[in-house]
Amino acid sequence: MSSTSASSDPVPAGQPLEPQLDSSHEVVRANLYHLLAKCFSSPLEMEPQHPVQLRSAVADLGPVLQSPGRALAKAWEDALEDPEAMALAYARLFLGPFEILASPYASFYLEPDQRLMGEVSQAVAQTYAACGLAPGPGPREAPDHVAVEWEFMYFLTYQYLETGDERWIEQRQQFLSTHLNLWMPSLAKVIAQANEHTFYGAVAEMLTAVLEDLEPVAEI
Amino acid sequence: MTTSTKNPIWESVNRSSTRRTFLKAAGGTGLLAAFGGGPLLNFMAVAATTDSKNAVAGKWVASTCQGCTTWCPVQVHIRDGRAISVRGNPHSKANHGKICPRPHLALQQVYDPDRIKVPMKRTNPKKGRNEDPKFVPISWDEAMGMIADKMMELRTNDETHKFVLFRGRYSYMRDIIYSAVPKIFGSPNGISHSAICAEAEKFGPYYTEGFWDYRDYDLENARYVLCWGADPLSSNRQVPHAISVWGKVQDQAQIAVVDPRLSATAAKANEWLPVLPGEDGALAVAMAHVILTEGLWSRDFVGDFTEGQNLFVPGATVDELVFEENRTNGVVRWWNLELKDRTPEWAAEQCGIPAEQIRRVAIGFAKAAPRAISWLSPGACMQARGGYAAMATHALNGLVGSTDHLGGVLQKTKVPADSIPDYAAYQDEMAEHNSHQKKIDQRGTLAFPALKSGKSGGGVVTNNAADAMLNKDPYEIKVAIAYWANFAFSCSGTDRWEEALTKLPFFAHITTHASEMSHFADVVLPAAHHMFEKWSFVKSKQNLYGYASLTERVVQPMWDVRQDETEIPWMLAEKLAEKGFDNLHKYFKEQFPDPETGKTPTNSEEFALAAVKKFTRSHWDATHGDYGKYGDKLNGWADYVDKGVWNSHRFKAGGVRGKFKTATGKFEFYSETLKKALAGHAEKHATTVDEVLKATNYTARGELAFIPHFEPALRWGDEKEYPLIFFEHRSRLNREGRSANCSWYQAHKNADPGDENWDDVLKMNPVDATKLGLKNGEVVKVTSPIGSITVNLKLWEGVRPGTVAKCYGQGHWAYGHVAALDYQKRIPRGGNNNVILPPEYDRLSGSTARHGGVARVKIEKA
Amino acid sequence: MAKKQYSMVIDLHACVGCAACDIACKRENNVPADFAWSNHIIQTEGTFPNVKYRHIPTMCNHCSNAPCVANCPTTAMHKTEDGLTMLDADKCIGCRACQLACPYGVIYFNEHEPHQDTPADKAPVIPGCTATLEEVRAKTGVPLPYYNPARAETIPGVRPKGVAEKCTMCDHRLAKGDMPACVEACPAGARIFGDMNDPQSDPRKALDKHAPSVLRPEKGTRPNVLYIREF
Repeated sequence: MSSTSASSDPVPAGQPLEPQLDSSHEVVRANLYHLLAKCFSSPLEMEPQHPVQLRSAVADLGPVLQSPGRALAKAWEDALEDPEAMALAYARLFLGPFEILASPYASFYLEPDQRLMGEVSQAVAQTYAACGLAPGPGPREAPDHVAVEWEFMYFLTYQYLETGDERWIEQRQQFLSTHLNLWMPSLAKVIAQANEHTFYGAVAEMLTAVLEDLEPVAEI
Repeated sequence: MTTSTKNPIWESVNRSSTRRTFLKAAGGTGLLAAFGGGPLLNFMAVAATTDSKNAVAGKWVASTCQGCTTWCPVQVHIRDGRAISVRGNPHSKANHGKICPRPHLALQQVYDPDRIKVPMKRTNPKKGRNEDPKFVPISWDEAMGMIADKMMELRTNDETHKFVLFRGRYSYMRDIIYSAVPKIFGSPNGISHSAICAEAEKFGPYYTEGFWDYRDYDLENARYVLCWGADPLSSNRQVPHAISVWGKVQDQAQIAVVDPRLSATAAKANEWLPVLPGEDGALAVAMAHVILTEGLWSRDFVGDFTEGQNLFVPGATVDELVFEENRTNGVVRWWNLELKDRTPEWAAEQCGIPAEQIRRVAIGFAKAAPRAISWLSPGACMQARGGYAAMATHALNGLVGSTDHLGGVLQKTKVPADSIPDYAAYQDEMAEHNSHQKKIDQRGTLAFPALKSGKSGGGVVTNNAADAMLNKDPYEIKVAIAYWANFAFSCSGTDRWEEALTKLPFFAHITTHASEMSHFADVVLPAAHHMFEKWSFVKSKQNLYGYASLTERVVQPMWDVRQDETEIPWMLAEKLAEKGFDNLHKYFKEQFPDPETGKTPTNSEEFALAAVKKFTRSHWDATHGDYGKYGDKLNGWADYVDKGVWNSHRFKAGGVRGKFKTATGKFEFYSETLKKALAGHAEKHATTVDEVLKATNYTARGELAFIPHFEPALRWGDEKEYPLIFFEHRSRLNREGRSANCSWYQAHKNADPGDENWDDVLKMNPVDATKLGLKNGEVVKVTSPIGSITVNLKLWEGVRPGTVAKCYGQGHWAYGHVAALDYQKRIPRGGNNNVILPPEYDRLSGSTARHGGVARVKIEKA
Repeated sequence: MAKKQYSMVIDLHACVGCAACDIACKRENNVPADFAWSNHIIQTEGTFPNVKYRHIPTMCNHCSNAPCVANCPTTAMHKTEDGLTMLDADKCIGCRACQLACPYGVIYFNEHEPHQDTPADKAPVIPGCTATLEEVRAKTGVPLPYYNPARAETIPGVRPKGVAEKCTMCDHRLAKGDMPACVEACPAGARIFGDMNDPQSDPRKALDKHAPSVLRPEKGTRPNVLYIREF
């Protein structure tokens, strides 16, 4: 995998993230969402550069994001030292196979009987399709998996940055308020409760912080 | 949420970078992006356009339900790539577009969040029920590498026979993983589930009319239907067809159901005969006695006394010479050896059915004949010593001439299919030698004749494999793969399987859900769901049509699953080749060119599809010699995929009479075929048939061994300590043992007579409850000589006093968050009957005695 | 008289009690696990061995003289010109008068958020999870983002808290010329559906052959779900 490194061109120092549409802040947001998607992906997909990218992305943010961001970057680096322990925690939380402590699917929180591929999965998939996305060549997952949804958030932000079209941000805020906010706080809570691994504890805190970071914008 | 298609904003996707400069103006890009530009996407990809019109309308796509062994052609409604509903396949002549409740439940299986999503490996080397396996995700490459390494060790040590392939449910792609893999690798051990299924049932028709298979039934023309444990409105066989014609059957025919429980079919019958579990044989021979003494046998089929007068008088021996037999063999010997004393009064004592009811049903059945069906099912013969009950109940069809007759019991039409290409050339010396070693299940040993199709050791003894593995007899098993199987749940005496799996050095489990068996695995591999994600075909029959039905990949799997019978063997073969053993891979590449393109498969998915096309070529390829010979002519592969089913010509009764594939060519009441098989087995062990019967725990000696006769029920447990007889039954919602994690199963469980929603009740007659001081709804502990389960009690009049009944299918301590109440503590929802049912057998057929009240139990307040 | 009178005739002789109707209904209408628009009455009578078991499929009777309609204070529950009894969720104030008035127990009330009170949820795998949905909804005030597109064509795809729900005879399917889901799913052909005002309709023809019965005739509700023959 290759990507441009965030550290090569950091957000200007000393400029806290304000709830306004500013492209440099949106770059940080995009990168955070991308990395959050990585945090919820299989450890098999993780690479040493990810915590480095995270560290540089949060370097100049306000305290709401910076503190959990730094903690997460640290936990991530430590976790990659012992990949099997992280894989085990990942399996226990999100995979099973016997029991899933923190279901990574929106359906589990919003659907009849926690059934997958009902209307929740469908609505999410339709939103992706409407934004010009289709299932990719990577790991197969349900559309309402937390990692896929953060990848979508990254994509929307990316598109905004590419086109400058503010409707991408509107869509992002709509996805946040009509979907993400309905279940991700619960997810953060159960991950924290499960207390499986320092890394995922840090992911839960970061998740909460990222959602909170977006909230004021939702009210614009 | 916005639905999308109306929102013009998304046009901007394709107007890419109109304001690309915006970013640069803002200070350049720290944005994480893909190499060469574009967003860095992993799960998703930027698509050209989406065809939303087509998506909204949806379409019906063919597949097959394997929720029971009827194997119904179905259609799945696909909308936006999602399976949303199911119906019968209107192209199918067998189920004529009808389905039972089961296929609907499958929707909750495929999208079950509790499915296994990626390959996983165990990181805790200790095995056992109370060990946490500590599974972690791994890649397919690593998973196959682990299995291949273990297999290569066996090759290094010239002990390839210490590999076993366990098969549970299957499609007709089975031979690839079940035969080719072990045989080319060098093991005799393909061990199927058949002997926990219904082998004893096949024993009946085979040793009377030379047919080792399930029968078909001409329900629409029948005038009497006598069900032996059979519950066709609820469970296999041919459920949708039976349901759809039952109203008509009730109008035209008398229906009698022999079952210790008031089954779904008994509830829609004229007569209920609540037989004591395991005593069906007594009832059947008494009915034969009545038919002969009343002079109601078929003159046309069986023959008659030369003087015309009926000499079948209770208690009196008949001279064989005074009866001229037609299409049957040994009716007088049957009478003399067994039937003459088997009066209804004798049977009433034995089986708990009043003599007058036995007489009434026997006479009604015989008078309706030959349009009469004696419908044998596992309930009446998957019992200790049950092979003879199977013969006795099926022999009634011979006695009244209803076998192979309009309105009667029929064999089957031919459903052609190509078999797996010969692999002998790919077996090296080690493979050739080791694949002729003894099989691990001890089939063919003195105590396990397993006389499938007349051959000693011809059939499997599934449940004995656990003991054989524990005893390392004939040898130790070191590497095992199991697919679509859960023997630690589905075999009686589950504790032995848990122990055997605990001690098994390496075990890979291919499954859709992490089950009890997975708990002991070193590697679990996520399997494609048969009805939605897999290419295969099955053969079956109902309504006098044979058919081949495709299972199709109707949706793209959303997890990293593989097709169990084709893709995984291919990937294993690749990995073995990488490690220096390439015979299997060569065989797959050379012998499975795509029949349409001639192209050699280059990956597992291509191989899977090529193999299905290859096996089914006679259904769709006009250049095949069997094309159109036995039924439908499908117009190419695409047409087959579209229709999903190939129908045979309709079965015509009468063609089998006179050329039965028995030793005598006749319908055998005195089975020369069985005599030959038993003699062969005795000879192999240098002993007598009587010694064989002793070793296999039957009571008969001498000539009785060759005729359908009464064998007393065998039960574990002393009557004083264990006063009640426990027996189990099936559910109309069971997708074999795999429905319990579906909420729709739980929410509608009371569709099974006597059962309760969201529960797995033990059903007890109120008379017994009063004696024991128990109340409806109480939690009770049910203890047999081998184990105990804790369940809720249901008082119900539909079960005979002295017996208690419970449905099979629940009691999973692993299978998902609905099926198991608390996985951490291994607490199941309900109780698994196989924890209390002992590992007992009908040894002549190798079958596990899961019916017949083989366990006595005591019941206490929990 | 209504222009049409959609009716269901259930042939108990043909019915085998398999519950395919119940499950198909759940799927079609997004019915919560513990509600059953399509349901059944089970009776076991007598003592062993003389036992009679009956399975009688039930559903909203779409009564011509519907107590639920008469007792609804807001006209939310009303009769349509096709003779169906329908609930307008927007007008429903959640007073449950319809549920109390119905002699058949086929009206369900969303006392809690829908789909959150199955027995499986009562012992949740994920502690704290079931409660948080309510919290989140209270916080956001946003309705659930999902509706079954087909079901939602005439009524809310999933009925919200505080609203009653019941069988609509699959009015959304009827509108497209399809049979109700339970009729399509019945493998026994026991459900005969059509317009009773049409003398050529299947249900009318069935009644020409067999005298019908209804549930609780003494209530005077004039049900439009009729039964013929015996289970």
